[in-house]
Amino acid sequence: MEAIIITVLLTVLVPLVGSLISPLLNKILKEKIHFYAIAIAVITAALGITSFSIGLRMEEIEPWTFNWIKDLLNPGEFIQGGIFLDKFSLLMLMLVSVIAMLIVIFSHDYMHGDDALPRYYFWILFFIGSMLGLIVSDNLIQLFIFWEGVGLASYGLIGFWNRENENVKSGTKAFLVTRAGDMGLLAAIILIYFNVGTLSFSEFTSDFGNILGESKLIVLVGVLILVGIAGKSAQFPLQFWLPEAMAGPSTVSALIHAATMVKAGIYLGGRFLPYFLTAAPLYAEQLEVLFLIIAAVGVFTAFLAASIGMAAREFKKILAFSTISQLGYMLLAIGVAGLLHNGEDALFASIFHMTSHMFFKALLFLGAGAILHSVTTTKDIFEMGGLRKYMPKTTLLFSAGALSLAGIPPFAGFFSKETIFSKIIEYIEETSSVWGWIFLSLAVIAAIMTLFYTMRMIGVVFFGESGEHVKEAEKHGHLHDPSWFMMGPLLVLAIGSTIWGFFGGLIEHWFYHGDQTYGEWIGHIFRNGWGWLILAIIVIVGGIPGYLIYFRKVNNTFFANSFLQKFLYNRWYWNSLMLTVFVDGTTKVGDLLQYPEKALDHGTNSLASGVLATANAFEVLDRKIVDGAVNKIAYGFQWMGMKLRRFETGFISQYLWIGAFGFVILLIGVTLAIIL
Amino acid sequence: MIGILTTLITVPLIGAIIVFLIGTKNKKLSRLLAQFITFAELSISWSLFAFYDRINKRLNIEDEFVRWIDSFSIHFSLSIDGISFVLVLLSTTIVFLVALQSTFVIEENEHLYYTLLLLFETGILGVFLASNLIIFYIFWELVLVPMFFLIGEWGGERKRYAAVKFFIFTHVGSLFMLLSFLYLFINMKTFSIIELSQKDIPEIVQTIAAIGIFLGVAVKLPAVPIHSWLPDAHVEAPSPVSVLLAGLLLKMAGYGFLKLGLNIVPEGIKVLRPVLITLGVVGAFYAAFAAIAQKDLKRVIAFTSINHMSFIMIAVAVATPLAIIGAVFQMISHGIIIGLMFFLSGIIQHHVGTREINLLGGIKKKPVLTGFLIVGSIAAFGAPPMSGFIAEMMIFFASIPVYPWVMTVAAFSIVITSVIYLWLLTRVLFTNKAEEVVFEDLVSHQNYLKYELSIVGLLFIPIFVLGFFPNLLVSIIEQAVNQLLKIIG
Repeated sequence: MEAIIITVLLTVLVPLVGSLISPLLNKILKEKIHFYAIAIAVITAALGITSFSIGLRMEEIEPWTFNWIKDLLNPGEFIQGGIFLDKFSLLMLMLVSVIAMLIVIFSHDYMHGDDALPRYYFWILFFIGSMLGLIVSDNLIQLFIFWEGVGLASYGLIGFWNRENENVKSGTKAFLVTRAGDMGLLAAIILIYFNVGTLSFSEFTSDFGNILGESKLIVLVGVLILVGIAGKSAQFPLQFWLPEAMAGPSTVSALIHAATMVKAGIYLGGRFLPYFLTAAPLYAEQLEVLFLIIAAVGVFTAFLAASIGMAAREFKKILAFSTISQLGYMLLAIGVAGLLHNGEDALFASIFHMTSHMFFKALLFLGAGAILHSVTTTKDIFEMGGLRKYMPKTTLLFSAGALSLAGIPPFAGFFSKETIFSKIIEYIEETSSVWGWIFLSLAVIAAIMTLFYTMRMIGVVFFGESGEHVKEAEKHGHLHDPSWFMMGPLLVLAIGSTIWGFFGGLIEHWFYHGDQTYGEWIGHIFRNGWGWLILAIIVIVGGIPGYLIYFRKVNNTFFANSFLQKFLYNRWYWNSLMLTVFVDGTTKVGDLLQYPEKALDHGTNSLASGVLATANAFEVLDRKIVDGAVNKIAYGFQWMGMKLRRFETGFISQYLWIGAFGFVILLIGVTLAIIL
Repeated sequence: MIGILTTLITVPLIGAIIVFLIGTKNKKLSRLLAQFITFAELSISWSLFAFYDRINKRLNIEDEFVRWIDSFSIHFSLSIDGISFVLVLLSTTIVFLVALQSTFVIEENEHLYYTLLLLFETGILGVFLASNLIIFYIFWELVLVPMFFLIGEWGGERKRYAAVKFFIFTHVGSLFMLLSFLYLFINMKTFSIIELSQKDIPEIVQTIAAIGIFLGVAVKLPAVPIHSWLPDAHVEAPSPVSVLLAGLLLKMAGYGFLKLGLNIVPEGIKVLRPVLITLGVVGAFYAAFAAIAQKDLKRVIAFTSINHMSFIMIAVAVATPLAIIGAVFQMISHGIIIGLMFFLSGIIQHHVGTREINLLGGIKKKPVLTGFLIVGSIAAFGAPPMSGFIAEMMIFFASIPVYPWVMTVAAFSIVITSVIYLWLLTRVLFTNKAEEVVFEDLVSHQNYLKYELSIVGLLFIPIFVLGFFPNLLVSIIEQAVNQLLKIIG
């Protein structure tokens, strides 16, 4: 086994085994279980970094496989489980393990004093391990198992504070919506298996696309995978679970939004893309349909969620909508990459945005966690205000994350978002398709709205006058920058959010051996000034109004209390619609089925009473006519009956004896009859 | 010739008599004896692994045969293959755990209860081992008798109703099965399952016989709409008996589908395919939706049980090796998981005094019980890495290529099963109540909870072992499945 396989294997196993052991250590470690979890997370991150740095120097990494399950369709062969590494998965492995480590360190103070720590760390480590396992899985079933593991962990963690019934419901909602998406993925996996003949990424050849194209399955399989992605990565129409997922601790939200869970879907999309593109020479039409669907779903989700973000009031919900919106960008980038002629390289835009999103979204959620840790009585941003004075460092770090989210230079989000815009422009230049213009304009509008709600969030939370809740928190002495266990991770993430963008060129170079210089790379992103133009539009249309309204407090009557505001605040009514259709619908069906159930029971019972009535009728008949004739004999039987009555004690032991006796008599009789 | 298989069947039968006789004097001794006998059975059945031939992947146990009625070819004959072997292991294991668990539940007429339990064991093992249709039928019916009394004597409020309903439903079903046995005999002049499976039975005969067999087993499975005995029986039975019902009795039906249906009358089953697939898919959805509306913990589990068993009908309709292996896997895994869930619901009832979901809540104060309920529920809706996931995966992989549209839709019934269990957990464990649930030992006023839980906890071992290493089970049954489907090689 190669060294890198061993380190990768350990990266996955350490958190998983650590998770399973943690409940057992409860009694021994008590409060110190924090340090146990931190130790596991640090080891995992170290292993992740080691794997990455080994892989950095390797050109090709041989996949490692083992005989896993008997292949029952090809007797004698095995379905191979294994590890499949490429640059994409190694990069993800490292970033996920490092960011997860920071979140676990943050938990030390954030979760201090919680009475269910073993359960918390059990699920957290399980979550991390499942995600890492998903990233390196070679086999699709293996991947699916980790995929479900991620879903289970999210159920456990979102509903972690289970004293509140609502939290448990949110966890249930998250699990069920994503699981509905999983069924799509499962169907796709099965279709792939029966057409392509293998489940391993390492065994997919350049035939992958051609086989699917020939049987006209590309669109179907692609859309089924998209259903899976939409479930996990919260894309339209399954996006509505993510806002409620912030019911859990903020660390959990950070983990879900930044490192695990929602990234899983986009990651899977990126993983599949090259194989689908092998159909490009022959089946370009089918591919175009598929990737237009994917890009459209992505850009619509980005637009939808960004618009809702402008009206949301709960702190973490705003962040949740921003996640959905940013994931939409990533999906859009996958779709656009599939439409471009050098699609595999164009995928980089999605990967790049995913990685920079990891940094700034972890930062934002942990920052929000730090704030909500201090201001415990409200979650509504309009009831906070003025926190800049009390938590200056947090304000600074949080703002770095927020500006990165909004795509302001020099933060990471700026570079990665501009890369996505540049790919859309490239698509327009390549095909001059009207779709390109639609994607570009929606994406830019979404970016404008993103900057607007970012300004709103920062302005309302950190600037202006302090609300009552903040003053109360100050009275209790809660209101100050957090301790270093919390500050450290924030600082690291803020640095990451600031400088990660400049690494883009290096990573793209490492990925694709491009021969462009760094300057050329930057130029490429800006597409001959397009990038600057877009940035200018975003700042002028989104940033300046946001600044005026929420920092300068310019009175705005245009937006407040309008129908549009209600529409956005209620999330386009999509959530309510889904709840009505599925929750109420399911219960209705269940209730309706009680009618056939009752009818069946009723039928059975009336049948039985019918039989009894007939028997009674016969009995009457019997007494009236037959009885008279056999009265005399009856007396004889009555006498026997007297004798037999003592058996009728209602005690089954005697029935049993009599039954056995009767059975033996019957047996003898039958045997005699047959022999004779 | 009489050997280990006959021993397996007769030990509990003789044991039943002894337990009954002792019980009239000393009830506790009779209980211990019965438990010992179930343990002995457990040991005997597991020791059959000594006969397992790793190379040919089969059990080297000869058929056992005692001549009885020559002119009608009714002979006492037993045989074992991979499928019946794993079902025998499941039966002895479940019966043993049930016997232990019953200690905490059954207080009246213990000796009779254990006598009936042992009779049940004889019956169920006989069904899985018989290789003559009449012997099969005798054991098939023998199972009903102790079950009838177990429900009717130790059950809940409507126990008599449930018992009679159970008896009549399954008995009427069996009648059709008996008729089709006789019909087969008239045409083929033999009752031997092995001979019948090798003969070339005309298609029309197969079809008619298959209909009778189908009616007999479909009631037991149960298929919608002839399932209405099951919720009543499961709910009214005492919890260990519910475990027997769901864990073992339903498996007789699955086994009947394979051993009688696919083995003897494959062409007939082929004709019935549309019926099987329709009932399977409809049943999966019907039962899942019906479960949602239930208010009794046990009733919910009972309905999901119907949902799980519907997949076996789908697998039988597909009838490829993968599908049948999946069906057997599902039978074993369902037997364990649903057994576990019924045990847990029994524990809740015995300690809280109700199974009404809306009255529960706050059980989460008992961490181990809570953990068991959560993991058991997750296993029950087929999440990895538990055995249920593997079973459902196998059936889907086998059936989607054959019935792509129907089965893709059917896959979503799994989502509904997860709805059922998660919602159940939400209500039972995490609901805030003004008054907390009183948690005490209502039965014995002694703290038996940890003993009960440690018995039940044993069931998690096979759930996870089979989930992680499905090959263990597959390699035992693979040969038998190929033989069943007459695939050489």
